[in-house]
Amino acid sequence: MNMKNKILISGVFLLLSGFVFAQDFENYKELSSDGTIPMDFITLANDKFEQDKTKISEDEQRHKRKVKEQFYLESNFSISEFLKSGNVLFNDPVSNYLNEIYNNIKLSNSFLNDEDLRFYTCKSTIINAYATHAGIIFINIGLVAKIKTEDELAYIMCHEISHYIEDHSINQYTYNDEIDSNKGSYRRTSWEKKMFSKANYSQQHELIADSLGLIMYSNTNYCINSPVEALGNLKTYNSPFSKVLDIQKSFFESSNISFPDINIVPLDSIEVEKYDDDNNSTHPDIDERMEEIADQLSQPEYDVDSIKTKTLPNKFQKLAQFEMPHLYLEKGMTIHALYCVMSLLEENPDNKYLNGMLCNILYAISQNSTCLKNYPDRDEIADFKHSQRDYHKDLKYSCADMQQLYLFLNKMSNEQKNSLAIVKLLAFISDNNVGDSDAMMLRLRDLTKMNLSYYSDSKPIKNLIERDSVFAGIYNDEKQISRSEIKKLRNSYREEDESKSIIVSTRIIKNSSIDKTDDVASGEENGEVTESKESLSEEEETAETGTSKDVNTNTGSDKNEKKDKKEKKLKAEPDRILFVTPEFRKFDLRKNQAYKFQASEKALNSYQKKIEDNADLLEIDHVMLSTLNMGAADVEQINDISLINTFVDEHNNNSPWTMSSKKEEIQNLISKYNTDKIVFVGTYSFHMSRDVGSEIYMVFISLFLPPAIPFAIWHAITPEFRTFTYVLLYNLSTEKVDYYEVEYMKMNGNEGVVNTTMYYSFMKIKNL
Amino acid sequence: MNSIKNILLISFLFLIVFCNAQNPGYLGRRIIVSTGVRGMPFVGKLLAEDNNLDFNLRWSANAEFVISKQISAGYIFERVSDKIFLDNMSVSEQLPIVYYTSDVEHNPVQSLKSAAFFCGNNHGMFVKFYKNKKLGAIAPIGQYFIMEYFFNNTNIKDDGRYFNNEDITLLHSVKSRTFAIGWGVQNVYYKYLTVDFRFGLGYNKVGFHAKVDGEYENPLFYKAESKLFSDNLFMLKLSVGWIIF
Repeated sequence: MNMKNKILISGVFLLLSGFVFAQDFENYKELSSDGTIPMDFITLANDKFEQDKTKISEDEQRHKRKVKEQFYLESNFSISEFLKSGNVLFNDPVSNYLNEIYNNIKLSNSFLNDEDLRFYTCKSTIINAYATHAGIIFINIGLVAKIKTEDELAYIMCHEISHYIEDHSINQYTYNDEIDSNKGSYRRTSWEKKMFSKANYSQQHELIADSLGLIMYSNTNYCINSPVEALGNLKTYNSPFSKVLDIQKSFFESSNISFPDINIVPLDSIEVEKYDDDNNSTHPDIDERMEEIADQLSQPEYDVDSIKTKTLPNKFQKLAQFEMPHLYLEKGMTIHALYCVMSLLEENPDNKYLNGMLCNILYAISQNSTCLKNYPDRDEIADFKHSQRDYHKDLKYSCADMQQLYLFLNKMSNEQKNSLAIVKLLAFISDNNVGDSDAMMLRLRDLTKMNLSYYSDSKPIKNLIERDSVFAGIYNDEKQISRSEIKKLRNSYREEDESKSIIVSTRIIKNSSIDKTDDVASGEENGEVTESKESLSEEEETAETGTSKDVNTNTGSDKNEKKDKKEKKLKAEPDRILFVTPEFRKFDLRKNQAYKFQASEKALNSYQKKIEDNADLLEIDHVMLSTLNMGAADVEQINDISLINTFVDEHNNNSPWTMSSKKEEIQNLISKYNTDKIVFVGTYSFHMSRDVGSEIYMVFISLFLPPAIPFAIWHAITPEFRTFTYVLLYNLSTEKVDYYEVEYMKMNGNEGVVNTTMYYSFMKIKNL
Repeated sequence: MNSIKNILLISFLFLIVFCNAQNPGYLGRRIIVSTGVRGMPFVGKLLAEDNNLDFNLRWSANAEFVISKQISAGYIFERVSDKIFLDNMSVSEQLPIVYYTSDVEHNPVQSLKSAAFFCGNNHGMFVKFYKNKKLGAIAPIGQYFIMEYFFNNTNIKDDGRYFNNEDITLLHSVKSRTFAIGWGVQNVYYKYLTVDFRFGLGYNKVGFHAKVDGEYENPLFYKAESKLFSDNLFMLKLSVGWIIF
């Protein structure tokens, strides 16, 4: 392509990019998919696999053909799962931008016109990109956020394209299989040497991709020096953004709060640990890679002086950076989230979205910290505790400024973190005229409720109560609410105690002057009733106002309450339920490849139908949200699934008492589907070998009892079965798990077994 | 006795049918009617000197009601139709007519063999316990433990050879009871079709005493009664049914 054409195309490209939709960062809306769903997301994995199988040459050895088939099977199904997880975006601004860059690369590399490559953005903070055998290349948001120029992005894309062109993924798979087969030279090789061989092979692939990528890249009119810089970004993989954050106490302090006893640790005193020099890494050392590229660039064919040296900015770096805080928060990586928000606030101090996100993050930090401190031994936070422990341990590998932030926050007490969150929330609420039902107000109430016990000693809070009427109102409300909640708890304990409830009811009957024979029929003798009358009086004395109605002589009160409860339940039925992405998985543990990809996908269709049929049988109003059988126009469905999955992940990665950062979006979802109940249903069916003990036992039995021989034969030839069906009901309003059940059967996961466990679980949900 | 037995059975049935415990059944359906076949190879040969491949097949009709998540109960009716063979003359004190009418010189042995029909009805009740904690089951699907109680009415009839009568002669009648326990597995296919397979161990009191006490004067009666022991000791049963509602 001559220079004139190149300039023309660059000019057109620049012009087009000028019309790119300008993002409103003030009221930033997180990225979501848009438009027509690409075929990659809709086509069944099995269909893709059958298509790929035709690429395998008949001339190859049988074993190699099998290995390749297995690769295509695993790869297609894994890609399909990933695409449907809701973590992959399509037709979003970043993906569209990446595909534009690819078109630019294609213009300069005509052989790419025969290839059907697609670029999608992944909602991941990790600085990485992946090329698959199927022509799909995933670029993480974390990478786009890190890279400053379009040129560097283009080089990384060329690198990934090289992986695809050279079939590195399938080559690596077949190579690994050869090593693991323990044949030939690998027969007596130790495990460590095998790992090293695999890693070495992968590293060679990376170097080849670097080199070929450079050749492809050099054909474009991007800056020739950018490849080295692109690789240089990977050296600071432990920092989300390129610049160093200047952490100042003044960011956290205000007239309402200060931290005189806590100082920021100097940056140069912080040691950033590196992961052990790992020969088993799949990627070569970065310095080595940069040297190789620099060497290649010094070759005569790369006339560095004549090639363009001015770079184009990465148009969507800022947008990608705006994505990072919420992505980190969803993973429970609150320090990283705070770091990103603080970094962005340096340049956009008055940005409404960022300030709101800051409040979300400080709220999460406070709640998580309170949960770990006050309820360390509760079962429901065990997983959260472990994940936070691992997260904090790994922070030593983060960049120095991130660790600086972590150390500063770590020195804060729970109360200080809580006060800080409250101060920031109050400021946001007053600046933005937030209503009572707004999620920010709910977070403020939540924080207040969780920490009432220490407020009387907390100076910042006392000051706030005196100065800020909004907070004073909330504080008094929550105090009142918590008092009445304590009363309700006390009453519910009384009602649960069966003997006391009988006593209460017989007393009511007695006071209603019902025939004494009723008392006799209830088994209560006069003496017992008298005693209980005295004890009830004591309770009445100690009970605060509003509670005594449960135990007073008001004859109808107890019955009315029960009637109200029954009516409420009837009114509540039928509740609509949203079924979300059901799963059905089959495993044969007797085989090397345990997961039965094709059988699982095939069974999923009928499984989904079973769910709907069972729900219809029980007259449960329901909606199915599933990626199976999607049409090209169902993009809203994918976005809703993505939102729900994100909500659940965030719920799992933060403490059970931390409200979701997606509260507003979730409330919209509730209005859209007219329900706040989501149900996850899944079945796992296992075939496994019977254990040796039971085989011997059957042989033994049949020796002594010949009639048992048919049993022994059947026992020997059939596998052992296990089928698990789980049902999980989330309440989106309360953000709690309302119901969770795993039904287990020692039988094959056929229609009868699946139906019966599912029906039983749905029946229990209906009766909740 | 008959009336007490009938009262017990009917009460049992009513208890089951009118049970209001909340339970799902299979997709809300709780009543299964089925038909099956019970038998066990080799046991007759081992214990009652039956033929080598005497399966002791009994046809049955069952009605099962799902009571709760782990329990179902029901009624069972069985039809028995078998033949017992004896090596020597024991059915009748007389020589059979064939002895006089056939060419005994050429067919001596056959004329001295005896055989009789062993037939009758059994009916009773059963309770199935579908295990949950360890094996996982929800009635009516899954592995279960069963307890059965039968009333056996068995008749021994001449096979027409020995009394020179046109009609078959009733030789002996036995009323007995059998208590059995067993383990099985039941599954549902195509939403309505049930398949039930189980193995059981039973105890028939009359048969047990016949076996233990030794031979009777009349070897036919001994064989018939001890057959009750072997027939009910081990059993394999396969039933196919339909979930009606």
